[in-house]
Amino acid sequence: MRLKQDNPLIRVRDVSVIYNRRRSVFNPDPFEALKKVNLDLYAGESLGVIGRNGVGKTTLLRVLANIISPDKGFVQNFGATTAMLSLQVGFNPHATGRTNILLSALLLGYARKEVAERMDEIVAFSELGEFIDQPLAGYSIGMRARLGFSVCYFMNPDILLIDEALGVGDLEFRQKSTKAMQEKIKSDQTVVLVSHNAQTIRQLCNRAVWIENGVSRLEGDVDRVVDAYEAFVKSNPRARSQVRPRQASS
Amino acid sequence: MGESGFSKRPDQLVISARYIWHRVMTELSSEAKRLYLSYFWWILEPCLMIGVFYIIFGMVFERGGEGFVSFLILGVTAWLWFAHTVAKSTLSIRSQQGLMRQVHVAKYVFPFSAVLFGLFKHFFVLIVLISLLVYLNEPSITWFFYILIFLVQLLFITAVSTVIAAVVPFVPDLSKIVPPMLQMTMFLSGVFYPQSMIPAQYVPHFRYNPMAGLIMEYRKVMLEYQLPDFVYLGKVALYSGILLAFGLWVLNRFNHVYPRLAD
Repeated sequence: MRLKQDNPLIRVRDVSVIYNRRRSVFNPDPFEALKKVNLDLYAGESLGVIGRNGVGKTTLLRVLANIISPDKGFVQNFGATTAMLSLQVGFNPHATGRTNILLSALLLGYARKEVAERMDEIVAFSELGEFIDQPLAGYSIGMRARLGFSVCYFMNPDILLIDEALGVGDLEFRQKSTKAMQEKIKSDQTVVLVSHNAQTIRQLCNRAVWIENGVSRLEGDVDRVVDAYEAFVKSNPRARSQVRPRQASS
Repeated sequence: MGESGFSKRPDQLVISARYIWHRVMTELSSEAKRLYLSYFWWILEPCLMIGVFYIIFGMVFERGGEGFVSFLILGVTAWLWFAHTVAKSTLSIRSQQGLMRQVHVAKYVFPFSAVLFGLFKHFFVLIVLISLLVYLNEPSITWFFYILIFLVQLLFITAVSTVIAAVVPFVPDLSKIVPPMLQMTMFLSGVFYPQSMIPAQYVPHFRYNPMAGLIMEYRKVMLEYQLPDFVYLGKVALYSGILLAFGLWVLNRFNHVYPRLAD
């Protein structure tokens, strides 16, 4: 179990994010993706964020990654680096796999030397063989996903933010990558894992936050939170169908 | 906008600079690999443009006169540098929505990459075309001022590129206006006609367009062996600096807003 420290790595207080669904500035159509979210993230823990589709989980990850800033409330980061387990960041289709590994890692904040040190591991993990020196344009979708995953897997931020999918690619690689990620989550790596799947959260996280309708309803021990979530979904069968079309996203 | 208490990583500038460099190097080599004539296209394009202007204005209209080729080289290279970079910057931020939604990145990275890309291409063109100038003309001490004008133009290009890249995501329609605007500006910049063809009372207005003024200055130091108009260059540099500062301010102010704009 996690040893609860006094000081969190990230503190989120009353965070609200409002999207404008229309482009027009003069005739806005505001939508509150997050209304009032509170959570604390401690070093070494795996925090699960659970909630139905379309309750603002991805938005929350973007707030934690400092990609967008909240409209109300605040996020305090006490110096930890964060990165989303984002697959295929900044890839150039005309460059080789190797070059794209470098570009991705530089974008995540690593120096060329640090990338070079891990290059062999990354290439080996991706199982791309001689394709690694071919332009990305000739890759299948699965191969690109494998490359993207391998970069993110070996380039560790202090806090890893994961949106739903742990593994990628064809069946075999999906099993391998999922297993690798599960081990990473169970290690000392600090993780925020977002999912609508109660099973995944229960399995991998030690603490959880349940977000409903943009509001954090409950935070604490994973079983307590997930039980409450499951009870809610069961008692609100209609709630399941009220899924909002996803905000344009990756 | 709510308070965001994220501590900025101290080396954000370093991260951006490293990324810009490698991004541009990758882009340069991949562009060359994709085309059969690769780097030759960079030379070929200005040469074709010079050829067309030479045939139409030099031979058909007989307006060229002596040294028309050198005259065109200076106008066309300076113009293409500006036009290519601005065109490339226009969608540089808007087209990176996917990337911006996955990682935090300082948004100036995108227009600056376009500027660096254009700069390398321009260097390449200059090496070839300046050697041609040396062959066609008697070198002079005033040629050193080419570098000064070059730097002022670089500042001007960076400023225009940054502001356009910063504004287009908010008003996407602007990206449609940029190509025709560039086209019009070319005709107003004296790429293929000399200042002497403009009625004297219009020359000061003509020079309000920095590209027109800069092209004139290039020709002054390279072909007429005169000193450049330092006051004019100073003004262009000053206004470009202000414009660039404004562009960077916008990018910084809306750094966390760009990823939220709809595609």
